[in-house]
Amino acid sequence: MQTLQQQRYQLLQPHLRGAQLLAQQLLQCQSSAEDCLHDALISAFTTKGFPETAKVKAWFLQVVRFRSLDLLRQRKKLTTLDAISTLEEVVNTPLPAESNALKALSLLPFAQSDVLVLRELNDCSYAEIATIMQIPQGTVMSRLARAREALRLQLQQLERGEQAND
Amino acid sequence: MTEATRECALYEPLLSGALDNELTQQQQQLLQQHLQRCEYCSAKLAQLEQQSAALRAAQQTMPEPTMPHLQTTTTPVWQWLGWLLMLVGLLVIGGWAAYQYVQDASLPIWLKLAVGAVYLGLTVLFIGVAWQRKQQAKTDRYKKVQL
Repeated sequence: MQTLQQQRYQLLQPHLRGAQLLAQQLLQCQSSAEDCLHDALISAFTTKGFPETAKVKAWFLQVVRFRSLDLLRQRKKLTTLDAISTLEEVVNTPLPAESNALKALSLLPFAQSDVLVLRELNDCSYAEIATIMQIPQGTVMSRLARAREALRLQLQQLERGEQAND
Repeated sequence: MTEATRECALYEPLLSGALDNELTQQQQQLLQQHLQRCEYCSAKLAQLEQQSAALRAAQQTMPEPTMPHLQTTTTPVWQWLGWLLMLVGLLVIGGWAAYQYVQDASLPIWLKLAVGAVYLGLTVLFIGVAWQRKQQAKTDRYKKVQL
C-alpha cells in the first residue's frame, strides 16, 4: 500500500537532479542547494495544491526556484548585517564542475544561467519556462538566445584561458 | 566563421528557437532562407548545437540526488491485516463479555451500573487523549525537523 508521500516522491524523482542543478546554479553552493531541494520536497508532500501529473515538473521547478530566490534574499539581508563572513566563504567556493560547459554556465549572471538550466538541464518547453519564471512565452526565446550567446562567449574565454595555461 | 551581417542579429533568437524545435512554420522558413545564404549563422547554429549537447552530457554525469530519509518504507499488507484481525477479535470478545455481564441475574443492578460507568469513563478519557494528540500533531511546527 503506497502512502501519498510515496506516490508524490515517485512523480518527482525524475526531476530531482535537474531541480538540484537549478538550485545549485542559483545559490552557487551545493549544500544550500540540497537544503533547498529538501524543503521543496517537504512542501510537495504536505501541500493540498499538488498539481496533476502533466504539470508536476513545472510546478516543482517553480517551487525550487522560488525557494532559492528566498534564500538569496535572506542571504543578502544577512550580508548587509555583515555577520556572515564564514558563510560567504562557503558561498564563494566555485562549484565542482568537471566539464567546461558547466563551469562556463556557473560563471554566467543569474538571469542567464536561470533560463539555460531550465531549458538545457531540465528539458523544459518554452511554455513551462514561461510558467516557472512567470514571464510571457514570447520573451523566453529571446532570453534563451541571449543566454546561449553569453555561454558561447564564456566558453571561448575559458578555452582561451586553458590554451594560455598550456 | 565569416563575419556577421546586420541581418544576423535579427535571426539570433530564431537560431535558438530552431535548436529547441519551438519555431512556427513561418519562422522556420524564414530561418532556412537566411541559413542558405549566411555561413556565419549556419556555423553558429552548429556551434550552439554542440554547446547544448555538451551541457546535456555534463548533466548526465552528475550523481542523482537521493533523499532516503524522505522515502518512508511501505507498511506491509500483512501488518494491516494483523491489526484488523486483532481489532475484530477484541470487539467480538468485548461484546460477548458485556452481554454476559448484563444478562447475569446474580449481580445487583447498581453494581452493573457502577462497572458500566467506570468503563464508559475510561473510554471517554481515551478518546479525549487521542483527540488531543491528533490536534497537537497537526499544529506541531517542528515535526518536520529531522535529526
